[in-house]
Amino acid sequence: MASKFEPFHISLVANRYFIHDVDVITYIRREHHICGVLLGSIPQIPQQNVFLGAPLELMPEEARLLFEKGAAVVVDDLSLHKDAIAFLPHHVKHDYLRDLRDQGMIAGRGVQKRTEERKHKALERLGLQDPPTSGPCDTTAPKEEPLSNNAIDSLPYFDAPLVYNVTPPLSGRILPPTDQPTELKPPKVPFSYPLYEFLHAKGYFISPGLRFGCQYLVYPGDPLRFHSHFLAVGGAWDEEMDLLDIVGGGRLGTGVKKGFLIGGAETEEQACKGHASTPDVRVFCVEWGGM
Amino acid sequence: MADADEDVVVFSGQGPPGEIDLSDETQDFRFLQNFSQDPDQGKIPKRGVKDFEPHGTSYQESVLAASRQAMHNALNCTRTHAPKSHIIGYYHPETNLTRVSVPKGPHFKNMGKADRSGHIWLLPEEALYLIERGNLDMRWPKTEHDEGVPGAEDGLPMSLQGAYAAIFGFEEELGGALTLERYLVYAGLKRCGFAVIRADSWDCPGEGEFGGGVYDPPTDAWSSGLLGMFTRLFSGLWWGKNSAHAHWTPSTSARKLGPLVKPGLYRSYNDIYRLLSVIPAHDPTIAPPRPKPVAKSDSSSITDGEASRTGTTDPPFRVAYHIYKPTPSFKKSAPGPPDFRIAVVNARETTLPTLPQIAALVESTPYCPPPASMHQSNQKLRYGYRNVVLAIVDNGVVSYMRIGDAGFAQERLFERFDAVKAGGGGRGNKRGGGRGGGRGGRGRGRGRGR
Repeated sequence: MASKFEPFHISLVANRYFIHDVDVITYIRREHHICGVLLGSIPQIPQQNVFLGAPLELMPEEARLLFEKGAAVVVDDLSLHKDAIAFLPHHVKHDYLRDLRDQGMIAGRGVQKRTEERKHKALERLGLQDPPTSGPCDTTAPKEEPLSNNAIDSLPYFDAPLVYNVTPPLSGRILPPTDQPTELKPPKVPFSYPLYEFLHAKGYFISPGLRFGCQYLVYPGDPLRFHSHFLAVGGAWDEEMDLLDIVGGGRLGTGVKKGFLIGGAETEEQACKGHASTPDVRVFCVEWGGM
Repeated sequence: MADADEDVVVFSGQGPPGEIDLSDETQDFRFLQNFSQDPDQGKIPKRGVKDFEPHGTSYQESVLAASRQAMHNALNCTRTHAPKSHIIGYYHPETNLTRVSVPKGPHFKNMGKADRSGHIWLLPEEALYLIERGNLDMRWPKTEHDEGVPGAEDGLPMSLQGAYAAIFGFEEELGGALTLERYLVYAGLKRCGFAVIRADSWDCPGEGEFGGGVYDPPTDAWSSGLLGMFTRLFSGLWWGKNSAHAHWTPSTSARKLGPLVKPGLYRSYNDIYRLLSVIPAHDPTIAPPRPKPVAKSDSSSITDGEASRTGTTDPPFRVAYHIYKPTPSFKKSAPGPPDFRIAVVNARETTLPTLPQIAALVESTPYCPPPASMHQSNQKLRYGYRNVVLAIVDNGVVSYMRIGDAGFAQERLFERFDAVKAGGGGRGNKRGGGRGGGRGGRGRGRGRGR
């Protein structure tokens, strides 16, 4: 499914995979069923850990899947930024700064507008001023409006405009466009990748699961709305497993009303015997019998 | 558990331990809207109710779409700086530090370090945290190309994406010890309101804090440290001399050959149990041998194996941050002893720690026995005589575990039996002879009833 977002950049920094663009974060969640883990503070309410924001960290498995689908390219973000800062042409710099200034102006005027409104309301309450003739005030923040001169002009004019400084979420303009090829290799994944890929292909949403005592948490739908169904652990085909681990995992899964799922890919030889072209993934679900 | 999940639980920051942690699971971002419109209220929303599985109804679809839209809106917030509170940070790639010339606001109370000329230097994690919060406007270093570009007098403004690339990228190039995992732990604790500063074992084995605690006078002379105990166990030294408590210790040859408890007259259970305790146990009240001090420059030359042999800590199992509960009297220049010490472990690159690794980590923290007000032995065991918090980061998801050096050998259950007996009349006194374990078992049962 091609889209205006693809191929998007996955930023590789110090062996971690990030996505910074909020549009892409929502897009891959909707279209590719990939959630990643949100890391950053939300500036509106920074003193809490329940809701976090961009950037998104991708598991290497997730990055690999997007890479193999051709939906994304992995880029070395540091070297891109280094080049950009060192050799940025004048006009690009001009545009970047003008963009930021425009955004700052919109933010500043929005604040000024709200202050004015508050002042008017207070005066009204005191009976010092007639109610404004205009309709109800639009209190939504203006920052989501498209960046154009119209957006700036639509806001009331102030004699002494307040210009905010802006920290943009993306380097955007100063980086080279996304369709340029990169030579970075596909992300290195753990041996449990076939299991990840298998579950993902079945339509499950998968997130890291160590906090719940497993490798992956497997959700039947978007974790925003659904509880997880399985605690998954990947294994190699011939790997010897401790029976205690299976019992413990089964106990844990049953205790939280989830299935404990073990799975792995067949070895190449096994696949050849079974006349399959690609190694098959088998999964098993362990539950306490309660006899 | 799943039933409890569906209950509506009101979040409170200071809940009792064991309360469901909202940040454990992905929360519905629609609940964020309830309070983001009114930032003064500062209320955390109620936990949302989730469905079991998708059943393909358009109602479910629309609820999910609304949740996703709410998430998108919440994430799509631009960080703006009002002129009054505008803080410019100048990034220095060569050190990965950020210089702030005009610090404003409350954050600098527990962040940054001033140099002689009055500039504040922020560590990379401090700078990134402030950028994420929207409190710092970080600038790329100026280049000669910036000359004559209006607005670039202070350097180009750095985006959040640029900040992640620069801070973690340059840290890797410089061989620094800040990893994404450490940053996530730092930021998570800062968001909780703690003051977090780097420990001196940040990027080297460190001196440890061996002098940091005052030890009780030793009660058992035969064990020293967790490691020492094991070497002794296997080098053939089989029993401990309970110097402070022992009334009678049989000679070595007698204990090798004869029964553990010889027939005879015993006036208390204590005497018998003491004879039965032949397996040495770790005594956390004894100061571990100090590891050889390792200079900072030498730390790289020590291999992992060597490190565990000398009793110094292995790289991931090292105290990275000192954590302070928020108090108004906190001073970054003199923070005092921390409330918690935390080591950060990447779950994807590190396996379970070995006993020497955990022992070295725990022994690098100061002696901190259970407070005298603590009487129940299970409480004391959980508290331990030294403690450290392990933050285990699995791809961005942080789990915190507290490790306490439990003093099982300190909680002598048998000492209670005689106390019970003395209170309960003379019956036990007459029969408390060497008849074996059955009596002890009964005594124990009564002892617990107390």
